[in-house]
Amino acid sequence: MPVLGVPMSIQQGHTTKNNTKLLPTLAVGTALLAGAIILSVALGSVSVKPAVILRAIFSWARLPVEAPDPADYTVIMLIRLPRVMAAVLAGAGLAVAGTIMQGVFRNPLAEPGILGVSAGSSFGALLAIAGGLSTFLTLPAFAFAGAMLAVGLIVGVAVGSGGKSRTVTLIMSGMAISALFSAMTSLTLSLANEYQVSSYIFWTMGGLANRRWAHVGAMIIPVLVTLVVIIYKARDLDILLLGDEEARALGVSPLLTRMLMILLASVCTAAIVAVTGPIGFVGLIIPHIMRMLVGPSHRRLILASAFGGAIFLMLCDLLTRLFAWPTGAEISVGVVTALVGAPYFLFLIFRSARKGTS
Amino acid sequence: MEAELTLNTAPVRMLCEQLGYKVGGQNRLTILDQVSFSAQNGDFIGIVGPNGAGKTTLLRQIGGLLQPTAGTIACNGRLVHQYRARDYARICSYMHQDTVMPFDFPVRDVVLMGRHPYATALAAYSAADYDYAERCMERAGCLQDADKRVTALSGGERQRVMFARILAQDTPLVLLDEPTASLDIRYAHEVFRQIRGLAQAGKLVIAVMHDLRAAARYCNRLFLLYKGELVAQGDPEDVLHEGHISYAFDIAAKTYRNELGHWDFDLVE
Repeated sequence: MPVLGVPMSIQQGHTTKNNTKLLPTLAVGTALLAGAIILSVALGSVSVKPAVILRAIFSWARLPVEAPDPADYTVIMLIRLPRVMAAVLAGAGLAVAGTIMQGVFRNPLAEPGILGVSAGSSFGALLAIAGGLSTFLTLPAFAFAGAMLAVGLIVGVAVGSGGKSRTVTLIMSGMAISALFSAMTSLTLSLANEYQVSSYIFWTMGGLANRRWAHVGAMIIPVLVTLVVIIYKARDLDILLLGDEEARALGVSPLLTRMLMILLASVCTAAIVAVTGPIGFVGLIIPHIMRMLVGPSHRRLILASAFGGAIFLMLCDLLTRLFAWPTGAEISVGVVTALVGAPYFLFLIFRSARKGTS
Repeated sequence: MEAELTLNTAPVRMLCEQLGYKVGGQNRLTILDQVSFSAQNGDFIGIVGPNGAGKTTLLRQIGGLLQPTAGTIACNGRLVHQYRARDYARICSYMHQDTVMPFDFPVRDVVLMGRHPYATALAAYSAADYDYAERCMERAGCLQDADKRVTALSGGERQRVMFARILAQDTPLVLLDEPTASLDIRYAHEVFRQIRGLAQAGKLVIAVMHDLRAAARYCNRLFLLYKGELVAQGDPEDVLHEGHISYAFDIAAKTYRNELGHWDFDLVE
């Protein structure tokens, strides 16, 4: 098109620049994650050397290495590593779920618990506490069941009303069902005794203290399945950002795609919240930071968010442990993520208001 | 030199019979009523008519974005809404009036989305896809914006990007909803020339046209819609008859040939 006068230099400048490659993100992410894990396991009330950590892991795997001191082995393999791995899975899962929700709702301020997971899991957890059924595995089971009930009701109402995949219908039924669950939570709280109320409040602050391998096992499948399926379906999520009709015209069924993604993100979030309690802001800020680093294309963004969320939550949890060790005061990791996250969230609100977008 | 595109001109035959579309509850509002037509490769059909006549609704029916409430619309002997979305996306592309993305995608990535119906799920877009997208951007006049963020573009620049995406999808049936609404006269002429070229190469193009002069000049067939009914169809100058214009638009117009021999009109006070 000579009339448009496109210089040849521009045409040749970038012919096949492929910015959906996963390998660099995977390599950098794995290296940083491994470093952060070693650091997190090494530091605490008792420091252990990185070499000892590797020896503990190798001897657990029955590789022929000199076994570490049994006390070190216990600290590493039964106390710190399960807690660190719980932080890795929870951080990765929340960040991935947040990225999915922001994409599905075409809204940069969406967060993982947006569709009833937060309200539903709180009610479930409170029922377990108030019913005297709260053990280290029944509480997560109740919280998970509550979250799934809320998500099921919201999706059921949205589909049943004929609004189908419309995001407005989903958000509105989400608000209504969440309000219903919050009301039931308040009602139960007003009937509960003081000890039950304070254990519930402690649960709502979110934490990773005393998490065991069983907790890691409860999260690993939902988080990994979500991660793999979404990376596989990442381009559909990109295309959904164009709008429902545009997506349909490009061969992506908006209804099916949105429902699949919402269900995956919600199950993943519910499994995490059940184990850790609600941990705010990881699912909101990590996707934004990663979008600045690797761009908005979801194939890379999802992977980067998984690494970013894992490292961020693990380091926040490390801060709580380092703070607890000299002071004896156990602060919840949710407090740290919110202290870092809330100011950033406000910054986003101001910025999007200034740009006139949201 | 104009970038070469190898165009998919597989046979398409649209057959629309007694198509109707109503919305609302008891007092149903009729948007389309008893629309029938057929169309095949090589046509550039313009849909014209006053505001609210059902132009975009008809286009969305053809694109499978709405299901008719009466009558049928079929592509190659099969009802449009019975196709799987992905299969129909290889036959038919659809350009909306405006498409706004919430995140900062580079223009190149948005154009590449046009290749989505052909890409396998896990593999990245191929080098051939990148190359094709590049040539589409050149054709649409947005290659200079290839690495800009789509959120930073003006309405007109964004519309050229979306046109490049339609070119990249390379379907034998192309549906366009006011494809030049935000473009200045130079780009509007260039894009219409491109669109006419697509039809002459053997695609079927159907576009909602708000500019009657452009409809007369570039299309080889027009549909005139009025209150949901297809009141006239055929050669542009027959459809844009003075009587039709005053009936559909409720305004007196005088049509004539201008100095360059193009169809033109003026309104009678």
